[in-house]
Amino acid sequence: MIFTQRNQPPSARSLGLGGCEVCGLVSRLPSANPPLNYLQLCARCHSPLHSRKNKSLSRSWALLVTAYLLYIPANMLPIMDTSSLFNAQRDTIMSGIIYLWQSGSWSLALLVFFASIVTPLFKMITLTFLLLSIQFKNAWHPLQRTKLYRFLHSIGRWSMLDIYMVAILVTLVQVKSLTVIKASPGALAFAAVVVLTMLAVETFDPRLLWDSVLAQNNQLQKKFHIDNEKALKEQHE
Amino acid sequence: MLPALLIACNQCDLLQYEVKLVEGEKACCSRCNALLYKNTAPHYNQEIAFTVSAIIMLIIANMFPIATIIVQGQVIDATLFDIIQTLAMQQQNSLALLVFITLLLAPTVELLAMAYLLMQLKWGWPKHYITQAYRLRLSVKTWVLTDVFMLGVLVDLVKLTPIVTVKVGIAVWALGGLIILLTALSQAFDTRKMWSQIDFHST
Ligand SMILES: [Zn+2]
Ligand SMILES: [Zn+2]
Repeated sequence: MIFTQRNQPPSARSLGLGGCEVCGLVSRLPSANPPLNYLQLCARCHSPLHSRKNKSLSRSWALLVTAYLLYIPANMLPIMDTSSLFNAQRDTIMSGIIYLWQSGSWSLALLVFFASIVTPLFKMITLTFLLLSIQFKNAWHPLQRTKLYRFLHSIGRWSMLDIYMVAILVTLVQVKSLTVIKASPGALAFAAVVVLTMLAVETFDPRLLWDSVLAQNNQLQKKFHIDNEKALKEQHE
Repeated sequence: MLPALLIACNQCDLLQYEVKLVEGEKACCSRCNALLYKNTAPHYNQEIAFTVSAIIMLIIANMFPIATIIVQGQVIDATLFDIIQTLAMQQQNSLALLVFITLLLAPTVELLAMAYLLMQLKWGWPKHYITQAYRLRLSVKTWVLTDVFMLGVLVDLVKLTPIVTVKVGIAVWALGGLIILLTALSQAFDTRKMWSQIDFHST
């Protein structure tokens, strides 16, 4: 399929324009890759203007890689210590879910399983895929990928569920000299994973997903022109 | 200067013209279907009502216990502040900070910034620090995790019920109200309408 200038959708950037991230006002942005320390302010709200989120890719990658690293201690270390007069017990996220399952609350076990195990993993893997697709200038279904990004944005927060559950238990279950529950380092690592992935999605710029489509169209156009010229030359000869 | 009627989708960068909407309608990007803007009631009565009630709910949620358990004659309360204090006492300062930011600071800042913006819009006060207030709201909005906390409370209550006597506190109802009001507020408020009322030289 060949796109001509006419039916190519007008991306603001390709026209030298950009919307303000704060107030939405469209302004002229002289160059897509401004020189270092160049700063243009929005005429209406005086916020710095960027055609794309500043250093979106590298920041998103950095946050994501840190999240991957912390994911291991988050799942291996206990998130909660329960000590009573007779025994001590350490719970990881998974053992907490198993406890819920065994005590008969399957729906709750499933809920916590999805919020604490499935969501963070799914989020990290999907974000990796999205970042790679931009890195390799892949033009595969930009709309589907944008929808994936939106989905990530909406589910990320729910992984904090386990942290809050621990925080409440820790406060409530403090029967003097009987049972004391304490939060353990695993909880901190897990909270960090959730915060880091949320930040990574936050810094990710979905407009980059559409740029590669545009770039590909431009290439096709160039090729179309070259082919056209060749054909014309051949006709002359 | 470019016409304010132009709009660039913030998710796919498609450049479009703003179209007039009837009250209650929403405009979505024609390429990626992201919400662009909506037409809400011209006065800010709804938004102000939601904001004020949400602030009241937030205060109630912080004053009363979330849950109470009774074990062997001991009554243990947990307010939001107790949770933060307990975590800090257990040397989990970062978790205490996280709970403080997501359940107390972020909702408070969001609602106060919103109240500040709405007062200026409603009564046509000289518009000062609009951008700062709006950006503050924008940056804390993601970190309001009241709904997640609420779910955590419910799961914990179900978990504890077979073991000890648990009572649901007043704060849980207030938190429920707060969640509904915050959702209603972001539904009722339109960013683009606000900015269209702010002229270029007053900020
Ligand atoms: Zn602006
Ligand atoms: Zn769009």
